[in-house]
Amino acid sequence: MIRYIITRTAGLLGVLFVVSIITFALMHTVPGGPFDARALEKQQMVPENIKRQLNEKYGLDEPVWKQYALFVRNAVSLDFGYSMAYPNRTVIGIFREQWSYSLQLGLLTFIFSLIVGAGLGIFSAIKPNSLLDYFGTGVSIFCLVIPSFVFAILLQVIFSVWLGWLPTGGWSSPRHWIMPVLANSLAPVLVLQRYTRASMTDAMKANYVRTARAKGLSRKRIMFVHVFKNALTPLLTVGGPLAAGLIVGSFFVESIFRIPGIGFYFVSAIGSRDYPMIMATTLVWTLIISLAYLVTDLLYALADPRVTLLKEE
Amino acid sequence: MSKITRRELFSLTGSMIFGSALLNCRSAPENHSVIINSREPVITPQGRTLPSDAAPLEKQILFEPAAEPRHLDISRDIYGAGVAINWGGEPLLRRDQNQNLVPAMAESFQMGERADYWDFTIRKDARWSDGVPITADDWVFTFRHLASPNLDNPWTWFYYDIKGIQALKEGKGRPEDVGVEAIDERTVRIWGEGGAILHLPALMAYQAAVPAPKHKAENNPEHWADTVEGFVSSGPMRLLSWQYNQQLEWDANPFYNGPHKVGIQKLIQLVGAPAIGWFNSWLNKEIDYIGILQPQELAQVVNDNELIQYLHTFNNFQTEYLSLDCLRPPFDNLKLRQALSNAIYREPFCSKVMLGTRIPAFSMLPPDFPAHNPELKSVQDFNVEKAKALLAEAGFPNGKDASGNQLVLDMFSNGRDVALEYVKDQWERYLDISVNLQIVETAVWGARRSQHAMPIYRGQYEYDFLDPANMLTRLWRSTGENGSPRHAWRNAKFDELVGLAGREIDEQNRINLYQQAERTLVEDVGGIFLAHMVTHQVWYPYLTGFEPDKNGNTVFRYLDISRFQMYIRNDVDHWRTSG
Repeated sequence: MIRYIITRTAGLLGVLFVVSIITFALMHTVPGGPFDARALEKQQMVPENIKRQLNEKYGLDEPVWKQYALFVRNAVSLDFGYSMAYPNRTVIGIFREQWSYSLQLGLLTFIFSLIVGAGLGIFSAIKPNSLLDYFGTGVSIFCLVIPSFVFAILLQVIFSVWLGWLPTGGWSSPRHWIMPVLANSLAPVLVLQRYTRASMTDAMKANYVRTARAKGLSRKRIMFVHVFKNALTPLLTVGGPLAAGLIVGSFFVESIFRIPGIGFYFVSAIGSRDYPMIMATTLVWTLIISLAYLVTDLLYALADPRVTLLKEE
Repeated sequence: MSKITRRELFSLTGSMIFGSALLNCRSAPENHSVIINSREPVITPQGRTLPSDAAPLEKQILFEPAAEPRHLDISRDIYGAGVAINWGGEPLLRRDQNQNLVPAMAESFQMGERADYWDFTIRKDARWSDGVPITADDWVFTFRHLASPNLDNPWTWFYYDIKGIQALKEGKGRPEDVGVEAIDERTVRIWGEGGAILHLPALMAYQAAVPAPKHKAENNPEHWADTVEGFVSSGPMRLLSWQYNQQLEWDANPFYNGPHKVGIQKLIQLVGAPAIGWFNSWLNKEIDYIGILQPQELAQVVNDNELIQYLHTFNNFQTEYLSLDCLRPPFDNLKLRQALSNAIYREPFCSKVMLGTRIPAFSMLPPDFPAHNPELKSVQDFNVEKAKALLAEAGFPNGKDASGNQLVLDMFSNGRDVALEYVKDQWERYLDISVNLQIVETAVWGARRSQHAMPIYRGQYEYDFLDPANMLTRLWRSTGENGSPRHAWRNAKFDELVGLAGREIDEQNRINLYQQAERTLVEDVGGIFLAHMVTHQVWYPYLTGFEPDKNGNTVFRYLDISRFQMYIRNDVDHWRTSG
């Protein structure tokens, strides 16, 4: 397994290198630079000669290959420089200070979604075509059709404006967490409910379940020891990337609820042509999603003994 | 499908009843406030006596929405720092509620003999929030600092009317040649670029024309104001903490001895750019006011008997217009430009589409702005017959060229733009031409605007300082063959008139020259003027103290001294439910 991890990690370095080249090239190919974007925030504009001067200051007048070489040299020591949109902060500083909020939001969302989504999926599978099953299906349809930003606003109107129970934004206490987590959970609840239900239903039809029943095992033992364990593999397939997506934050949810997380920067960096931030967020995302798949693959092997990670010698 | 059992039915019904009860349990509007006139006057640590209905000092807390500053070097971040800067920095002068210049850091100011310089006398014992005296040297340093070619300051052009600033910024001049000098410890002399500069006091009353502390910034000019620890303020509030992208917290600056002592003793600025605005936060009483309501928010307010009581309105000095590429076909054709300008019915756009957040514009300078000329309305007013006739004269009768091809115009926006959609409809409806409205990404739009690569786009400009030099000269005067930085329009007569106005000392002559210049701009259709902004704002009555203006309106103009007048009334606890 260690050899497998080492091989995959080495491959990951290659992926990061290729992604960085593609991102760097695309970023410099699209029209509009950081100072076009910055000026427009206030409906202003920066004269061309000042723009040229600022480009010189930040080394943006150099050939792209030279800029890339400099980027790589600094990036290997995790130095992404100062953000261009927030020139008082380094990119690493922004990650250090803001990511914890997105991590909290992502983990809370994942736990909540796992309980609600997987729970509803299990109960739907145990009692198909029951009221509970319809309720689970209803919840997942709701999650499918309503965009998170609409749900977020709806929650604000009901729980903040009408009822006055919860604050509309911020992240300083558990009261602030409730609505963002609910709004962020739509997609994960949907995915987990449907996958759990489907894989549990499939597993319940398997021969070993019939055998277990014939052996006289209790229903609970059949469901949780035999069915759920075997239904776990498809869940792992979606769970890994889902968790990866959640811990990098959400632009909409963080913006609407004023959560100072990193999700905002993932999107705003593109619009503001914040080159150092674009590179850092892209590489972090690549790293996280790659690691998520690696962990998922390792968990496959733990969950299913038939899975081998390396070809037999 | 299995049947629903009785127990399930009861559960379902119970849940619905409980849900309905929840939705109806919002507390009644809390307008049962009690205002008590205190016997003991509330005196602030800065020495201001608050009116008898003021809450005690510990309750003088304001919650306001804010944008994240890039850093706290206000002199270099005049647009980015936004709301934060007004509290922590003090310019030489400010505007009162009637837009008159009033002393701020300068207790007096005096024009030089030919208006080619102005002397500003800094008030006695002015200090930074760390107790260090503010001197004329700080001001000399400030202008050299903000124009330094080594620093990231895209806004230096704001001060190009001051001698030597542009040269220094462009690397052609020396810091010592900047026309800002210390006559003595408290007197700073500022020279105009190329002669008279009658509008300098107006420029020096801009919210961001504030000093940078030489003792802090000289050794670390780029990053001295990156953190709260490095920052010192010259204004009535000082910064206590800055949680990035969350909030800034201020209290009253104990060293402030100027004329704008604050009633508010603690300020919590909630940072964010919520995708849906701040309206819900205001309704939930997490913030105390909203400076600008969006049309849909305004509609909700005016249709609510309670909320409408908290609505305040004023005409802002902001103009929205269509910019045309007048240097290339087809818009190098004046008749075509005139036809287009007469084929937009602005009134319904303002009242129906923008729901009263705009008033029609027919020229650049808004009503009540110095040199505004209402007679210009007739030039670009809506007149379909005139528009059709002009279109025919332009060579496009019934919207078709000589070959019978329909005229197709390309228009660009950076995002959904109802104004442009409205204009497209108007031109297609009344002139029978075709308009191709293309949406491009914001930074792309910005780059194309700089390159003058969009035949038509919608521009908007809000005043920075109350002088036609700001909304006419700065925006429309040509700087080269391609027109001004924003606009592909060039007119020698306009350039000459604003040039003459800039050097004119006699105020009435100056205004006349600007009015002639604006007429040239409107008649030559340098832009097609659409609308001026009407600012609608809301605040709860416990936020009070604003002096009414000469028309009796009580409004919160963020560029004047309103924020320093305000205080919290002693019925505040009845209103605030959370925060």
